[in-house]
Amino acid sequence: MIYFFLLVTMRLMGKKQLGELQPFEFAITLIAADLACIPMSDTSVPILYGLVPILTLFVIHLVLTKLIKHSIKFRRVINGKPIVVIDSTGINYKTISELDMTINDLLESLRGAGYFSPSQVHYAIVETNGDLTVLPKSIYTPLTSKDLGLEVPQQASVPYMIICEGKLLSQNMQLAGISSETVRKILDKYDLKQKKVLLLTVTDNGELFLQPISKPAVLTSLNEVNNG
Amino acid sequence: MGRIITAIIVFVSIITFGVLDQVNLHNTFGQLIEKTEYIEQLAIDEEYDKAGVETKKMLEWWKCKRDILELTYPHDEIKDLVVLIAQLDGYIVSNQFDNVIYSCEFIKEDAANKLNILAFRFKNVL
Repeated sequence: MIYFFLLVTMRLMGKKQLGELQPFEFAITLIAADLACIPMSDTSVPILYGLVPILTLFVIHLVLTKLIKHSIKFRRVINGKPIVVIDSTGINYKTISELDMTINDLLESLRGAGYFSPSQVHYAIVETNGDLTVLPKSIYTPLTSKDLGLEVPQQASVPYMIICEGKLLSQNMQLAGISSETVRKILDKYDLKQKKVLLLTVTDNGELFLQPISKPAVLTSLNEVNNG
Repeated sequence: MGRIITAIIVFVSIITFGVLDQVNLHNTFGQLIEKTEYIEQLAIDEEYDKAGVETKKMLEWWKCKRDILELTYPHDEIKDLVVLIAQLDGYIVSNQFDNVIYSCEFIKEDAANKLNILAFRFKNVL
């Protein structure tokens, strides 16, 4: 019961809770985990001893989140602010000392970001959640079509999942503008039954990706299917 | 917006439930002390038969109240009192009347002490 209650509370706290934790979110997560254990480990403690504090944390979390959203000053107090550790003059040793970081920590974070030397980096910033964000020097930046002055076709849209593990997702069909008739045509063309399809996706410009459970994947288009 | 409404409902529920719980706690322990004082007075007046009946009634009453209190308070803090009341009943049933007043004082002191521990007080929060 406590597990499901905690699950619901964490979902109410928001998705960010599961990923990039700010300091106050990390503190709340730790406390919530500990509170959930109390009634589970001691049968003489009522279950409300775990539930009420978790609910209180949820309210506190929501209040803090709203305050952080509306006040930049409060946001800085609670979350801190991003700190530049490498700039155009090189490594800012005073700053990394204030962060209790060593040069080894900094180099490790740089390697994690894909840069093996500080000389490749124009700016490096330690974010409020502890991540290091790197802006490389322009000579180390990958070329883009814009740099080359190339015109590229319009980027494909996010594919809609139409069949997932044999199940038809009717809401996605509506979003993609695909009818049941079209899905049936696709399946007939490749001699497949719906339950034998692992994944079928379609993009706005009609690109289809069909992955049967026990056959190789097929990359095709709606036009091709409609033309027989 | 849904989360804000949920949070407001949760906040109001916690405060309301907390206040009602504290009222119930004070009432229950207050009544226990009153009932014990009454039994003590009967013992002082040497009305032991009536004291025995009242003690049995108090024991049953406390068992009902205990079940409610155990929903919100640690059982260890509550369970001792039923033993003390049963002990008081035992003294009356076995005609050990000298111990009745002593036992009543013990129950009163223990009830006041438990109320002091369980009630919402700033020093308890700290």
